[in-house]
Amino acid sequence: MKMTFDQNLFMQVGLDSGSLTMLGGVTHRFLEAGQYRGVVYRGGESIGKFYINVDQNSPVAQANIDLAAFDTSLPVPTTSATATTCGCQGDGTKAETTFEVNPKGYAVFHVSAGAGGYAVRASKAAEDPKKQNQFDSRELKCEDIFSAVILRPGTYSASNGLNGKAKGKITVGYPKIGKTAYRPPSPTKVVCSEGGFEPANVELQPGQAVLFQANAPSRITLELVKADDGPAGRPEHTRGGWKKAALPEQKEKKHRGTGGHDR
Amino acid sequence: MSHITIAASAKAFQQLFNEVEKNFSFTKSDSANFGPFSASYSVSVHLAGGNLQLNNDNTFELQDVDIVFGTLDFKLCLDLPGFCIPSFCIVPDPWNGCLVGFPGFCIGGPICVDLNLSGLTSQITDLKASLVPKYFVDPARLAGWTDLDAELNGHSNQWQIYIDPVWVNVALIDVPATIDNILVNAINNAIHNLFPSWLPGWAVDLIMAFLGPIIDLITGLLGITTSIAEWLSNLLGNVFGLVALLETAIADYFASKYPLYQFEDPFPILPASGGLIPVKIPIRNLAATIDSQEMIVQANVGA
Repeated sequence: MKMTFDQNLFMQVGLDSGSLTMLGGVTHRFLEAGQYRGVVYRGGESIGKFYINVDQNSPVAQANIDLAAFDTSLPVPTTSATATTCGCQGDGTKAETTFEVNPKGYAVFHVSAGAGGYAVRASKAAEDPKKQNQFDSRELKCEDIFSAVILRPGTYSASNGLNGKAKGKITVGYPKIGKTAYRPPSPTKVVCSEGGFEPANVELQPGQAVLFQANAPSRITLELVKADDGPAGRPEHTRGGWKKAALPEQKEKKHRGTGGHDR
Repeated sequence: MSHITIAASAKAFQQLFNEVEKNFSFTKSDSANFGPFSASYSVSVHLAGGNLQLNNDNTFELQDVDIVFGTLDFKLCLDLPGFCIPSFCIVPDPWNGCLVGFPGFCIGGPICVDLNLSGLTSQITDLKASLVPKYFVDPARLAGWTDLDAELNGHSNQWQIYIDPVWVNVALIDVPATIDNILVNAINNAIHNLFPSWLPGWAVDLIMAFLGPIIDLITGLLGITTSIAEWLSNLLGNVFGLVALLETAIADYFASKYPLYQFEDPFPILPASGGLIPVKIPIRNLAATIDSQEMIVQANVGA
């Protein structure tokens, strides 16, 4: 059985809250009831739109919105789990989609496949901009959360594109094969305020999530500064093909006789 | 009292035995399915060295003869069960639940490792034998031929003295402890070959960490409770029965495949010359015995 992975999981290293990939997501609360219209962007280009009905009578606490589902350059998912679990009322295709959520609940924007690079903007249909309650994933605020997972071990710089004072360092350790199967620890939380990141320095295990809570306008970017390729001398991963095993040395003779052939 | 007595000193006997030993060869291949895994091997062996001792009880003993595996190719195939990494959380929700998960995946399926173990050895730890004479009638000899016709056509009858084993003991194959690392590395390589080639090394290590101590699981699957070296030696020697096969092959070879000594019957005394036919005497009642000094062959001149 050959394993198949989405290469983007392993080949994309940096993260940007304003350009979401598979390794990052944004959580937002629509506190006011009403219908919101959302637009999904890839780069600067609009690739789809959706509606979120924020309804106090809705039992849906969480609307999971897969931004990759709006990308016509990606294959259509074979199943649409979100259609039954996330409040999605659409038909699961890449067409315009409607979601619903309770105002006490959350909308989670994530990317299920592909190279990503998505942003999302949503606002209420109202003439008064103050009543539009606009949300833009390129400018997080009001306790929006950017969830990021860094798989590639190394040292990263964290910065807030909307706040020059916010600088941080994230170190992701190299995986170790232990006596039990490794599972990433619980997420670590970082608060983004006017004063910067708190804490500014974070140490993570591989695959451990870090949650950036935007208490001030934020666009979080994480960039690899120094890669950690593991202990020196570890073998390179190459397709081994066929190799003749080195002949084991024989150091001492053992005499472990059996019953023998006895006539 | 015998008409003819021939003796071969211990040194001469050793030389005769060396010839027998040198011509021994054994090849075998086999495969078997053991449920969670299957294995196959292909071997060819020859004998070398050893200590020979003549006894006063009409026997000789042989010890510490190396059984050299000139070829020992071993193949192990595992149906790796689906070791699955469950989805783990990429985007956690504020209640410590999970909103977006790293897709779970399974690794599994058949993997095979080839080990070239040529050069390993076992030993004949002990072989005790006496001698037995056999009369060989060449099957190519035609019914109407005289002894002279048979000689002229190269199909004379023969007296042959064979080694007649009483017992043969062969030790388990001496697999060095270094095989542990070799097999583990081979299994690791086989598992790594399941990964896409583009996967960077750190990602492989991360996935292997997620999988956990997979080698422990595999050694459990193989039923390895001691060391891999002992397990392999037992698998080849006892489970495949290679030790017993070798013991039988060695006993059979000494007893019937290659005589220690043979000579023509009737035995030529004078060659043909001057138009006269050769002078030959028939040998009867041949016996071969051993004491601590020599091998003694006695016979009568028959009619």
